[in-house]
Amino acid sequence: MTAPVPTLDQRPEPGGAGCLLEVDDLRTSFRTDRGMVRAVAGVTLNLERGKTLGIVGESGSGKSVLARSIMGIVPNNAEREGSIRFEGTEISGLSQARMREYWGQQMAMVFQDPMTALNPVLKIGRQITESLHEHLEFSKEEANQTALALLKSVGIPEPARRLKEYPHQLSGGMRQRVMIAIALACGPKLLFADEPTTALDVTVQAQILDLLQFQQRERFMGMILVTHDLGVVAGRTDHIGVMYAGRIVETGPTRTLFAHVRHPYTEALLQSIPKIELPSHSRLQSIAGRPPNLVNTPPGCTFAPRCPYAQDRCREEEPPLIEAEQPGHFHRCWFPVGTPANPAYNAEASAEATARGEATFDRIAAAKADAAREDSTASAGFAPAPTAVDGEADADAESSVSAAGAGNVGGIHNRAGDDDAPGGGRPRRRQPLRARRQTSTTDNGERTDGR
Amino acid sequence: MSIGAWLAIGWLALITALALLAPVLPMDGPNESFGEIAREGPGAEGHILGGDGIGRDMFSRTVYGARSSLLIGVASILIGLIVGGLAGLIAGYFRGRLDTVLTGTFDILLAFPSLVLALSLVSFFRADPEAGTGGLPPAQIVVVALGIVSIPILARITRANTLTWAQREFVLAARAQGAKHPRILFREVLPNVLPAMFSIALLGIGVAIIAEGGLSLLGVGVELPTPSWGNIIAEGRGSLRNAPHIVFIPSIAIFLTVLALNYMGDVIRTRFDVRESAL
Amino acid sequence: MAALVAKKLVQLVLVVFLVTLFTFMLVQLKPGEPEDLLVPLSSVGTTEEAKQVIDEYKADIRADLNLDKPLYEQYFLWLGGFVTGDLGDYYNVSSQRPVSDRVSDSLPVSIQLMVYAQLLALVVAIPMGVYSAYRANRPSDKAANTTAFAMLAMPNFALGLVLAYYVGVVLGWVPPTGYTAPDENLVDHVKTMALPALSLAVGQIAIYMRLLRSDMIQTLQEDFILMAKSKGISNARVLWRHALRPSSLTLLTVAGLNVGALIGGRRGHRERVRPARHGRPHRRSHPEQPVHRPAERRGHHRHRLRAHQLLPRLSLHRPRPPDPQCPRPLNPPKPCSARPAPPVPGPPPPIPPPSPPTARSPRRRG
Repeated sequence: MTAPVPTLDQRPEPGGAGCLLEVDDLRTSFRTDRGMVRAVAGVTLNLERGKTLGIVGESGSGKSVLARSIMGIVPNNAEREGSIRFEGTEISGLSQARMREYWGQQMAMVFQDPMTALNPVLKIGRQITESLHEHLEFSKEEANQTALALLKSVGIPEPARRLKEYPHQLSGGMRQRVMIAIALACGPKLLFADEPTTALDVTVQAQILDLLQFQQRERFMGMILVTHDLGVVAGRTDHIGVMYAGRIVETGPTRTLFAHVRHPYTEALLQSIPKIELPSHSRLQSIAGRPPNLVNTPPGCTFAPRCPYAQDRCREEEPPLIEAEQPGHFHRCWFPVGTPANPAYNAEASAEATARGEATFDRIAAAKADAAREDSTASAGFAPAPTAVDGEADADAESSVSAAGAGNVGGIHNRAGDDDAPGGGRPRRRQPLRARRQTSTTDNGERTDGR
Repeated sequence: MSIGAWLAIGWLALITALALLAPVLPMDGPNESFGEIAREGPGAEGHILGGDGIGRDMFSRTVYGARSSLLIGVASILIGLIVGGLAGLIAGYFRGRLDTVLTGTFDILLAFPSLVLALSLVSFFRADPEAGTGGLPPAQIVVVALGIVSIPILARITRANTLTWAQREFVLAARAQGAKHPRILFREVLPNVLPAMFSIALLGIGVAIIAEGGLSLLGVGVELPTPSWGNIIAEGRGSLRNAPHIVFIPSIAIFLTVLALNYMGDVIRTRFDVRESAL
Repeated sequence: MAALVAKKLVQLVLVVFLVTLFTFMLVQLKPGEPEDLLVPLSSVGTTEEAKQVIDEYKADIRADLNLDKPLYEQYFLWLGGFVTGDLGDYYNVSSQRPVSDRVSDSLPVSIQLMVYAQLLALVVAIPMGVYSAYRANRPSDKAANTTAFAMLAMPNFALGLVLAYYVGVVLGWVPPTGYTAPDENLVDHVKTMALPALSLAVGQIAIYMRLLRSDMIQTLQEDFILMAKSKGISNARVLWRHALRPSSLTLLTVAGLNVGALIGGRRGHRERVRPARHGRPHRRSHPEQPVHRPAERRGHHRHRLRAHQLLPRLSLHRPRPPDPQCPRPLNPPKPCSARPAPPVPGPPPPIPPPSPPTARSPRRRG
């Protein structure tokens, strides 16, 4: 089998006009006392301007590290290899000083937790205008006007007053809007959104995602949306990459991927989205086991220990990225789900799964459209993860992804007239000794990604 | 571990071994006087560190000084660690009125500059020679005084650490499982507070060694002729001009020991804090 | 807010009261009678006549110091005097002088010295701490840390000795003792203050640097630092603008405490050195040893006693430190604030006597 050129998009001519970002075989490892932790193990992807790419995976799958590696804001103990081309220019080897010309102006990032990602002791206005002064050499007046316009454009009421306030005076949703405004300040061409809604109240999550999508279209940016929730990416991305243990295990255009799931991990992720048609109190599907230890990855497929279909070959030989029937759809599995190669293959069931996948996609897309039409917020099935669940997921190593959307199982239709209530999160301090010991084998990716 | 840590351990091991083995080491007694080496600098024949003001072997005095100084440092901090640690643990865990009373007491003790307090305590514990009453031996008095001085400091640190740990979920979980207070305190909270206590205790030993020197300089340290690093310096300062080594040798011994202790304290502390900066 | 302030004030008063009471009791519990210490036994002789003179003298002293009154009355008399600014008199054989004079003489110098020491410490420690947090665990950080540890490990009294002797006496760059007021001669003022400020600052530099470093390392792990970095602003700007302020709370708290402690510590030091020996001449010393006895060199002065030394010393209270931040693991218990520190401008007992008279009574014009 010849390994096809893996790509997340129809690959345009290298360096061609449309191609914003080309990442080739990116590897990021962290030096730790326990050894090298391989957080990103060879990721290749492309992104055009105006397109959105969703990166989906559990906590610890390396998705956040991937985004930070591409941007080059990894901690000191990280080692990064591979090629990253931005508009045809190789940027992976650039010094920090050179990269600073890209950060903010060419690419920007919206972080997960607006409670901790805004500086508590600086006024909002200062934090927005800072990069304007630094990069665009705006005068004070110009910068203030721009900041005002930015706040207005991200939907913050009374922007003039907010400019003079400190982050703790804003609610969680507001803070995330401010963060988006900061990211957008210098007009980047590429926007990373690293779980932008995970730390937010369910009721505001959709608003923030809509805002991101709106800004992305409006400004014709490329966007990489990192999330652990397939439900989030369904209606909002052009392409999806499913990450597991630092690798993209399945990738394809969003609808194709939903309809023709090939990798057992994606299947499990999909099954763990709660379905509104199921009776309430039905058990949520979860993925047994834990993400692998990234220090000493065993040979073979990294998902094999948790895979219901795993064969001997899976434990010995690592599958390459294999092209599926549909164009642009790739997976890393010897016995792909829904094909005769799979030991549990059943033509009927497979057709059913396809239909179900399409249904899921359509349902989510429809729910989103509904939500957009009603200008409402998170409707059931839209399924962004509630904050509390994700908060725990970190310590619990999120051994199941079923948590995603659990808060919506009963079909809660939260209509929020206003923004969410002020949040009172505190920055996380050191983990308790015990908790740290318990999670040490599973939390590599997240724990070492510099948070 | 880094070379620095090994050097620190090495020095501490060496000085401890010398102190422990002092009586059996082949050297002159600390109070044997040799007229010919009085005020002789290091390198005098048979006396590698020279002699002090009245010709006692500096090496022997420094080694015997280590005995007193280390003993005082360790013993006094042990008092502080046990009493202060327990008080801090209880104050931080149970909060409430008990906390207020204990913290208030620590505050009052802390309100005194530590050396003033140690000084008052030493003079308090010392029997009045003219009244002819007996008292504790001077070295023990110094230990008790410095121990008392260290109690509020260690208690406060333990309390502050306990406060943060006692509010963690795992403590709540233990309580929810029906664990009793002593069990939670010693099995759940204490192991987490211990690194901070231990690293501060190592620093504390260094501080106590220096403080003993300070007390000796004020004439209330270890009683002569028993040498301690502090009273060797106190004795030697009069001849700083023509025999500076009498001050320098014990000063360097204090310096290296305290340096090693500080370093070890830091090593312990950083072992429990492994995260990297984002910048 | 007002309630909180009121509560804190009540606490403060209570603490002050207990501190004074505690000190008072400590002095009371000391074996021996205060008046015995005041009367130079050996200098009078043993004749009947002499004894009578002594007894009379003692009785005078008892009356004068209110020692014949009940304990609680003594305490409240003192407290009343203290509150009204009457600190009693120095009890000296030759003269009597109000203690408050002495305090107002020395307080400005103490404050100057404290301010210099703190400024010096902060000016050195802040950039050092910021840089070493930024370069955490790199060679430059390790070098800075080792320097800090070395500074902490230096026995302060030995440092004072050595500095005064080598810089002051051998090199002769600055006078080893004495004090010049700033309005008199600024250069001389700086010269006389340099060594004491330096030896007080050395330990502080290390503590401040370590405190700032450890807080800053924590801050640098925060998301908002990553966020600032992702905006593409320079590292220097991230460090000074974004990271320093959220990291400086502990540093400022401890520096604030030390300002209080240094004033107290310094003053305490000057007036403390001798009284502690009273009643305990070095008679238990090894007989054939030449014991260094600074007190004896001072002849009859060793027997003088200041009345206020029998009484609580109030100036030493420190504000109550805020709980969680207070002493961080690397804020070692600070005896540094109270170590018998450097030679100037107080009478420096440690200095070998190149010029004995000046060593004891520096001219103080301030």
